Amino acid sequence: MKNTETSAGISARRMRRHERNCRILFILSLLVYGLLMFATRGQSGTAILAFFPIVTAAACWGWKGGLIAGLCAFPVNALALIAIGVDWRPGMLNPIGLMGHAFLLFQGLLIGFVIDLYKQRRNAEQHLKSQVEQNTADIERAQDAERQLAAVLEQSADGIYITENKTNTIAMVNRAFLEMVGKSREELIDKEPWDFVPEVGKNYQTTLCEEITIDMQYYEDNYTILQKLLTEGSIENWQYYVVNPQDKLVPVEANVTNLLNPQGERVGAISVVRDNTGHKLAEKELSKTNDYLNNVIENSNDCILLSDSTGHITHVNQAGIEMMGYPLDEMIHKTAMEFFSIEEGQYETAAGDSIWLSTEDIEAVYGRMSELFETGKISNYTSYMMHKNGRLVEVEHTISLLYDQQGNRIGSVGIVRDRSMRCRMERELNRQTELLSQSNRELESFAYSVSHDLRAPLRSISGFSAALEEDFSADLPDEAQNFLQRIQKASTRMGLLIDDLLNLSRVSRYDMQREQVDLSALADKIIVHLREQTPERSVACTIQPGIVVQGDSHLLMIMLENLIDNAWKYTAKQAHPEISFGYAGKDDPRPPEHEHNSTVFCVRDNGVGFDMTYVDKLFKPFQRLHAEKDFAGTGIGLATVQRIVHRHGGHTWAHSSLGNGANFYFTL
Amino acid sequence: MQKNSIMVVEDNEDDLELTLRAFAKNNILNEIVIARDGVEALDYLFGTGVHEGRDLRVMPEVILLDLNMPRMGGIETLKKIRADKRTKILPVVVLTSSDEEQDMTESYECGVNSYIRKPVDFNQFVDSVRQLSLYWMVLNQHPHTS
Repeated sequence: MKNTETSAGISARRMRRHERNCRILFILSLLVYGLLMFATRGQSGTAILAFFPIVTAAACWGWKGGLIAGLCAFPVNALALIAIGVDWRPGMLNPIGLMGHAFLLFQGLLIGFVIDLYKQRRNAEQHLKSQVEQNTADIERAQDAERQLAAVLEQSADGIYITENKTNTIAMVNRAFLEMVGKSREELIDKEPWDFVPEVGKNYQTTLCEEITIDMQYYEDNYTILQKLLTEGSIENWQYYVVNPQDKLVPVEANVTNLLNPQGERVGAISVVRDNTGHKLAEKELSKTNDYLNNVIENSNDCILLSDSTGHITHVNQAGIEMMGYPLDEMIHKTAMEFFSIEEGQYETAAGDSIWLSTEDIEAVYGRMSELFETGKISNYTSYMMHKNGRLVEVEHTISLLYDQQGNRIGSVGIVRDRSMRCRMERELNRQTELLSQSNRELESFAYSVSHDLRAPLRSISGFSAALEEDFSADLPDEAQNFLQRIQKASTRMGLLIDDLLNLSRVSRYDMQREQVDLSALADKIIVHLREQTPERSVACTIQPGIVVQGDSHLLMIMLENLIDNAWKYTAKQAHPEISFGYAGKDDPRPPEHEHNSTVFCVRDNGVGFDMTYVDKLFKPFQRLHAEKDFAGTGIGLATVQRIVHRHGGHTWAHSSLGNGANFYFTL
Repeated sequence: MQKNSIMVVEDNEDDLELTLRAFAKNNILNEIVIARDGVEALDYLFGTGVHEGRDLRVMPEVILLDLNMPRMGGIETLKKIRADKRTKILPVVVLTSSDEEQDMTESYECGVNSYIRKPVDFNQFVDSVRQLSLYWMVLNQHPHTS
């Protein structure tokens, strides 16, 4: 642009200079002609000198100028004559100036002067020309700007279309809008803007995955909004739907502005249409999150208490309203401390317990409040709250301070859990535990006295009957001696029973230490021991290796000893006795339903077995399914096994049939 | 100076009788000093009460101590024996009906030399007494208190 301007300026300057030179040359040639005419006093033949100005005019303004100058110069004796020169230089289509020339011949003196008759007009023309040039540049600039604007509109991410008022047709539409409605430019340009609006009565799916039926109300509402364009000249944030290529409704937000001509008349309207799907989705998501949070707060079983930065309650959820007994409006704007302040005294708790709160108890509660301002949070501390009905609610309290993104404290959230019932149960549990440990202590002292005091008389019975037998055998008949032996045998057996009973009670009282226990290794050890004790027996033993469990090794040893001892004992009359220990197979009976996932272990033998009719008696103390004379024992072994298994949280059961061996199962 | 007496601290007459019988059956002829409870035992050992003025150079070779006794039980008696320099190195064997872990632990913690449970069966009891006497009276070497 600047270059063009500069070259135009240069050519204008050059022309002005040329014009001036021509004029000077022409006047000079007229002066020469006049001087010669004066010198020759108009002698004939001097008229030829008139060629000077003719040639000059021709040279300056073209041949026509020269011709006219010539015509003027010939009647040199005339007093005055007027010559008109036209500048018609080669290459210039328009006359740029008319020159007036007047010659005065007076007293043989020629005075020549030039009047530029058309200077004004020429100037006006020149002005017009530069104006035209200027306008051309302006137009070019305007065209450039228009192209830029068109590009901007075309490239806008928002959909844009312009309607013409007279025809109500679309005059311009950009790419984004075409993409939004899935049409080509040809389909929309010069058409009324109805192709992309939803049909009344039709059921649509929106890009937000909602189902919508467009009813007349929709159109009426939008028509009302559209009227604003006439009354106010523009519509802002107008929300409506357009139909996209998949025949789904796209929620859009449009700004529409009237386009006015210089006279201020409405000539059209420009609509800038933004696809609102993303925005709406985000809005929906946000409102979902809000709903979710509200649900979480309202449905919590714990009281949730929101306070502002000054400690005044701003919200209490439903659980809190129930826990405190006050309606929401009686709590809002009060400080939480009003509900949590407690003094020393006797209280009835919400769970119906009666408790005494000492000053120390209360100080312990408030003592922890300082933590809140040091760390911004106190978790699970025990505190108390007064219900409207005057009962004390024992609570577990968690308070967190809330901060905004700049780190300013904006309030706090308190989560208050009613522990009244739990506290009551804990107190009850403590009482029970105390009772239990008391009864355990009694049991222990009972077992102790059984161990001592019951055995002493037995020793006397056994000892003195032996003494009697030894010292007075000569005086005693055989029958009496037999009786004495029976007394001794019975007291010995009673001693064994007492010992077993004590062992059983010890199993119950024993302080368990859980650790990893290799049952296979224990079983191996037991078998080795049995083989040493009864080297005359040959029993085929199969121990599945690597069975490791969690439990008390001492108790598990006693349990396995009892089971394997039994197997050893009850296979005594078998020709080829077999004992095995390992995991139970899939054909074995399963544990009770509530333990169906537990690992089942099994001790099997091919001994005499037992009658399943009496299986219920099997694990009861002193219950025996075989006669003492067949198989020795007190009937305490399996009761001990069961007690140990129970102490490990497992179950034990058995399966057998007479003569077909027995399987003893247990879980841990 | 008598050096090889055996002291039996036992409140149960039957048990005492049977113990003496067991000694007799095993031909143990040492003097047997009998105390019915801890207090009597300590009176004898320290020359107090009914044993005021007793020659304290005479001390039992071994003390058989029951645990469960009136007035002063076995554990307390044992503690007193171990606390006094005149008696603290005397061999003490607990001879009791109890096989409670707690009793055994406590006895050993208080410095008992041996812990033996009285069997119910008399023949076993006689055998226990025999081994006991043999060990403490014959095999065991012990410095004599002055």
